[in-house]
Amino acid sequence: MLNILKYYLDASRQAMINENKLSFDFHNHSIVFNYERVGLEDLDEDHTEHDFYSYNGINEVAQLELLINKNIKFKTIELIGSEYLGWREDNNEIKRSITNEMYYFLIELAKERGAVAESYMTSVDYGPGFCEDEGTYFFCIIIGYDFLWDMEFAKKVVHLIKQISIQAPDFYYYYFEKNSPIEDTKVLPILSTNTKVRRLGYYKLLSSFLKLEKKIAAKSLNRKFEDYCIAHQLELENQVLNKGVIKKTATGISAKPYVDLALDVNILNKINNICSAGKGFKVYQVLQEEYSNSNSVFNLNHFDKLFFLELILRNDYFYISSLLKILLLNERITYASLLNAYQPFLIKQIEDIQKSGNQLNRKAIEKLRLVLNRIKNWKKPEVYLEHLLMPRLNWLLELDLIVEDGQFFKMTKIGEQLFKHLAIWDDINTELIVSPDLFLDKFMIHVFDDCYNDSRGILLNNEKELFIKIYNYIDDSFRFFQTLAPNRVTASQAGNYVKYKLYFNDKIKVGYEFIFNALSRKEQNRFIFKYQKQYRDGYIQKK
Amino acid sequence: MSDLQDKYKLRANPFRLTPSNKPEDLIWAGFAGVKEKFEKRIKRSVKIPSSSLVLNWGEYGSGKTHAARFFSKVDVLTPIADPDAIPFSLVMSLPKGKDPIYDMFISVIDKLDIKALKTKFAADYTELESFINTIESNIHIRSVLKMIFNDEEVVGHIAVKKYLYGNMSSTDLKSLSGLEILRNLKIEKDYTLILAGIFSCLTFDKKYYSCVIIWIDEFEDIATLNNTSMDKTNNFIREILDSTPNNLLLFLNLTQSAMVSVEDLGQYLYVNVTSRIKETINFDLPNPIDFKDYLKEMLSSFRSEGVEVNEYFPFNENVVNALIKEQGDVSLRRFNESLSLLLELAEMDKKCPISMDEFNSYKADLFLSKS
Repeated sequence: MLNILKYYLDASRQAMINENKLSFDFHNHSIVFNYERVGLEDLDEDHTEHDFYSYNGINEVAQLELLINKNIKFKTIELIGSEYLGWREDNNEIKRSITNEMYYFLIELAKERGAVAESYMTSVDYGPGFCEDEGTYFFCIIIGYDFLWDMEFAKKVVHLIKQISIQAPDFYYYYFEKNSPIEDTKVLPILSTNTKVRRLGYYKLLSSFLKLEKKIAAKSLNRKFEDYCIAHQLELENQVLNKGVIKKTATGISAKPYVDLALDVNILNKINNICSAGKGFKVYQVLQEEYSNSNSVFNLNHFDKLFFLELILRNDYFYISSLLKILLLNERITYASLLNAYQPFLIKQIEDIQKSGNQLNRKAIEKLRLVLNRIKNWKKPEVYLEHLLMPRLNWLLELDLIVEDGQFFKMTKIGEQLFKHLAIWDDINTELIVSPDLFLDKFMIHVFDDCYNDSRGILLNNEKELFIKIYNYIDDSFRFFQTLAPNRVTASQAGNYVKYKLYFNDKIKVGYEFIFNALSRKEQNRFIFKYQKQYRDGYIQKK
Repeated sequence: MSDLQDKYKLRANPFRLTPSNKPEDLIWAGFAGVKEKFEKRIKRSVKIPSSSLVLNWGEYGSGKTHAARFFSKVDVLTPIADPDAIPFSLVMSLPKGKDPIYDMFISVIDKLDIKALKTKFAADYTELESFINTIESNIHIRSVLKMIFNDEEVVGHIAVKKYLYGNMSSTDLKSLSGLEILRNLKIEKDYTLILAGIFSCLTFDKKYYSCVIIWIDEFEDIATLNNTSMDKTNNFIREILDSTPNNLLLFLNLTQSAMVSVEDLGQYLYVNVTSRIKETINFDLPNPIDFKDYLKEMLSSFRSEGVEVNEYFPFNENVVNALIKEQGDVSLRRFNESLSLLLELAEMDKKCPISMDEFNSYKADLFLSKS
């Protein structure tokens, strides 16, 4: 016991005792031993209560000896990493990612010893409350009792602490330095899925199908889409990922799950039983020929992946990010283990959100409660979860975020990279992100470029040049997105069009939101731009 | 008020936030291009026979409702059309209830002075009767149309209105059997056909009314209707245009709002309606010159008679320039709001003319509502 404590003491910067905690400080991290005193009567008369209670520095082994000779019982160790939020605004500070550090420790420690953590969390500590404190954002991993007096474990932890260095990419610095959260409505986005909806490629076909049909009666859509897909049945059968085929049926039941999901994510729009492409999907349609690969329907290229990844993150963040977390925490995992792990994991996630969210509005609370009850009431999770997991695992496979290795699923480098970004989003807001809309509006292109293109995209610093490019592409968008009203395009369509054009034509990374900021500049004199927050959209007119 | 007249030389605050109901306050200032488009469109409908559908697009507060009310004024229509046969014009809001066609029908009937019509058409009734026979094949509808325009002694105007509203007792209805009116109006097609028939009769030979102008305001609310009402409204527009092939000018006022899942309101209009659109008139957001022209004309219309002051009085021109620059691209309503507030604040502090000092001190209040 003493040799372990001595090891930590030697390795750490300082150690202290405070409120039944013996902690070893390693600058940004600390190892904390929690203990309890078995009985007050055993307190050494030479040492007052004060000595072992409040902020008592430990500088030598003798003091440690004295402590363990008291009638105390060690219970757990906590591994803590923290960041003082008051320093975020300092632009000389390196921006660490607390959440990524936490996962790094969880993964690295689990590599040799299996699961070491009893639980883990991130939170903000605002101090005792009698003085103003910007707060300390921290992660805490509670290590199981088995590892308390394990020297190998101690060495590993200290080694990891000394070498850890996880920084947020530069483009996040502005938001860290701002030190105020990015708006999150906290309304949980989730999708209901059918196990059949596994091939994103069918949505490429839906795009070209709707280009031909434009407006189609809802009651005949399923059957007609089946007819349209028939030609590609064989092509799918020859793919490695070949499940989820759309076949010809008398009622259209084979295409129905795909069509239902399309309606849920608004790539298909239904007004008065007439269906047409949703406003976001029209941008995909316009650019499909130029940027997508229509010869090979079921292989997704970068343009397809960018579009569908954003669509999935926006509409299904809760299920997808939870799935990614489980996959990340397990070096490899079978479908059966995933089935077992998923339901309790989801329940814990929602409970964590409920606990952390002190600014939840009624709508958000209601949705969280509803989803939590629904998940808790899954009578036969193994049956229900097939509908939930199978489509999502297949989407992740198609998006190269995971690979299938025999009976195991494993996260890829791209998947890990994506996860890193989602964790940074939590760090920016210092709490779990529930609805990522505004993060996607700001960072989608940057994240995609980092994950799929090794960050080779350009961040154009010459603002003047960038604005001109943006305005020219907006001008261009009037050719494709003309509405019934004269001289008008819908802002979201123009914005997304510009975003894709800049990235795929000019390799320039620009957030969707930045494009609207460029339009709102006072010096901008080519367009009138009106934005209505309640619709998260607006319109643009040429002056 | 006396200050307004004495110091500011204005008979009333010209910057109303919603269009006035008083005809004399309903004036057109500036925006000559838009005005001309409406005049041309109305002139064309007065001269040529065919019916047309026109969409008016604009931001909230850009003047669409104002245009509808302004161009429904007799003194405005008179110089545009033949003074003896000015257009029959009425403005209604898009009905939001579950019977939109019946609601539109009632809106028209409410405004129809049947007694006056009967007198007006008395001399030409025989010709009108044979005209009705040619335009309408449905015998029941024909009979109802004849009853509307026929002499007061055949069926009195009160009885006609009762019948049209569907309030007639069964005994009274029996008294109409001699006119071949054997049932009440019931099905939606009845209402559309009666309206179409009335419009055709009103403009018969373009003698008394050269055309019928109907403005449906707040048409953007179609997006909030349920499927059935949306269907009915679209079908009504299509059918009324089909059944009134001549002399009907239908304006639909639409606000350019963004929508959650569709790109614009056009998605709520069926192809069989959009294909009938003849023209779209756009209420663009005003540029600085538009604003200044508007302001000059507005002030001059409200200025007490015989007063010689500079054209922007009681505002200094640099105040007007600064206000326009500061507010950026805004609607006319927002511009009016700022001017109205500026005038009221200055009046309270008894400052006249309104200079940059006042503007700067009121600036925070002026742009408070700007979000």
